[in-house]
Amino acid sequence: MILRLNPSTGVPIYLQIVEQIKHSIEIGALAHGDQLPGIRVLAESLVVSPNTVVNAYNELEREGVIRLRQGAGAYVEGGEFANSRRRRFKEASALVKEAVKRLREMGLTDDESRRLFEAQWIEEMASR
Amino acid sequence: MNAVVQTTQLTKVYGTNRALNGLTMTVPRGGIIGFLGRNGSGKSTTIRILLDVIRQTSGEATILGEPTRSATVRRRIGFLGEDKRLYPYMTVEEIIAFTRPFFSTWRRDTEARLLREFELPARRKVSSLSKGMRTKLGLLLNLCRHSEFLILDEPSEGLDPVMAEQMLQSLVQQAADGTTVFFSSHQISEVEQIADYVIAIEKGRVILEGSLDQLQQQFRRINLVFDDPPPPDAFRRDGVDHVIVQGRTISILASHNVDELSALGPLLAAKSVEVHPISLKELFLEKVKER
Amino acid sequence: MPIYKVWRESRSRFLFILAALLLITAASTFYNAQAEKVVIEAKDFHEAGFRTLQGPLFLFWGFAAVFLGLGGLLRERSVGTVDYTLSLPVSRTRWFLYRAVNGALQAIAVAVIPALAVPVMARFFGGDYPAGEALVHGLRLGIGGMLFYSIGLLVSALFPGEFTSAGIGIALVFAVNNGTRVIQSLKQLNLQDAITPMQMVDTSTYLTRGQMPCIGICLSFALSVVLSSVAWKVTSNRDF
Repeated sequence: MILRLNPSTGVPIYLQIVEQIKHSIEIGALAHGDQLPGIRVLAESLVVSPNTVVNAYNELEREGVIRLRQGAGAYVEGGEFANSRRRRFKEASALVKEAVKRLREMGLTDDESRRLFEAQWIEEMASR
Repeated sequence: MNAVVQTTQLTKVYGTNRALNGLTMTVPRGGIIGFLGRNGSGKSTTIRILLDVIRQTSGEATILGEPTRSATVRRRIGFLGEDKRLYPYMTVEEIIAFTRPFFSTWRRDTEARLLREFELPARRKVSSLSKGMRTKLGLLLNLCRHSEFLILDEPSEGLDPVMAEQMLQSLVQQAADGTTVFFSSHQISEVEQIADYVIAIEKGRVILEGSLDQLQQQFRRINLVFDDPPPPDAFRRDGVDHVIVQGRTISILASHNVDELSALGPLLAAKSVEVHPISLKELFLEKVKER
Repeated sequence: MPIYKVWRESRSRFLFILAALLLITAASTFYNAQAEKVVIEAKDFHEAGFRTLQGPLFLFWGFAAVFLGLGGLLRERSVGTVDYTLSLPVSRTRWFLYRAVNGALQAIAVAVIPALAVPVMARFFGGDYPAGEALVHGLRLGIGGMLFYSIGLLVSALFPGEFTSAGIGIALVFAVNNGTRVIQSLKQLNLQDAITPMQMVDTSTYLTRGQMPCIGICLSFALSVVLSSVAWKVTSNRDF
């Protein structure tokens, strides 16, 4: 699994893993029934502590995104769930497309727009 | 027993220099613990006391529940020193054969696999090995033990980026096998990457301790901008670790109570309130300044 | 096995010292025998042998014994391997004991084997020197002279520098030998006389007879045990 982690942002690595796995499901890279890499394998390939991977998988299970089967590994959850996520993703893409168009019409450069988004996300995540 | 190491008021004095000044810490079992500190903060001194290489001036330390003076507890421990020096007069296979019988948990299959992976020449004398190969040999001599507890002093010191990454990967593998890995480092980036628990020391004392995830979720930087900043005293509240004033901006390092503290912004008529997560680097540097 | 490491790290030094002492003993015997430019009689060869054993072998063995006592954990600290050694499940006392015994056996070996060079050289000249005589002389030297070996153990436990400890050790051996020869009141303590007192030697045959100087040898050995214990205590308690 190709994940891009940044340990220095202050956002816990396990949360970054959670977000990126959810994203993979949304864009269809991971589908219902797919098996996720084992804890040891993922930890070794990302070069992060196995405990971090355990925390990420537990959080994903808590949110209903994956299911941990005793001794058999982690599997991406239900078709219904994945489909609703994909639908939501399509809607979100349309929203973003519209927003980008509007911001450009207002005269903002792409960098300025990006900064506005980042400031908003940081505040959202920080107040969690 | 949940702690692999327990120290209580550990002190080491060299003449007028207090290398350790009442160090009290608990290293939890399981996972990877990063022992972070600047050069000269007392990391190596602590490790040497744990291994009974030097003796403390006062205070107590136990390792795997046993006093540090016990030679038998070292059957359950691995150690890779900063120096990574091994007996120059022995060959690679001789030093492996020498080390093997001390450890009942030694695994020959690991030994064979690592000899191959590390490409170590069995009959070469240790004195004619390059530093990189010496490090790999030192690592092999420890990894084959599959100990309960592995201590490393600056493991990636002197290693090129590729080797350093391989070293970190080996540590992750050991942790996945159940070994508690404890490594000292002055490089924040590698602690941020593989440690799930952090103990930071400065001037011989603990300044920060806890699970890395928890620390990152707990601490926040709250930046408040005012037209006319109130005096810093207005921010002496529960949860505030540190207040910095820079022109019109007041920056608070908060260890908890973030919601209440952010609410101070509108309460005191701040023009802007921003809440940011704080990286280990910032947190560490902040705590060092506090001392 | 800890003893394997202790042996391996001392092996080259031991073999070098053994070779050197063999050479010195053989050459000295040869030289002493040649000094008499007449046909060698049994008695003359006995004298040559005796003079070699009491002279050059005693002197150079004394220095060799100090060298065999050097090394140890303090030396390992300079080399950088002490962290690895002490991280192994072997106590400092065990390391010390293994090293002390290994070195002591080597000290006896480099007394006995070179001593046996004398009877060999005798054959070379067509003469004879009883092997038993040489053997026992070597043993008296090795065991009674253990004091010098323990001086080596002690200085290497006290002083980190290789040259410093060797220098001080050699100086002490010199002082002990010469001091007890020159200073009247200390003449009793001379080690050479304690190990092989002249009363033991029949000057007509230059072979020994009569009683072993047990008391002298035992006292000297006891003193070396005391010095070794001090070395052990220092090693047990210090920071590395």
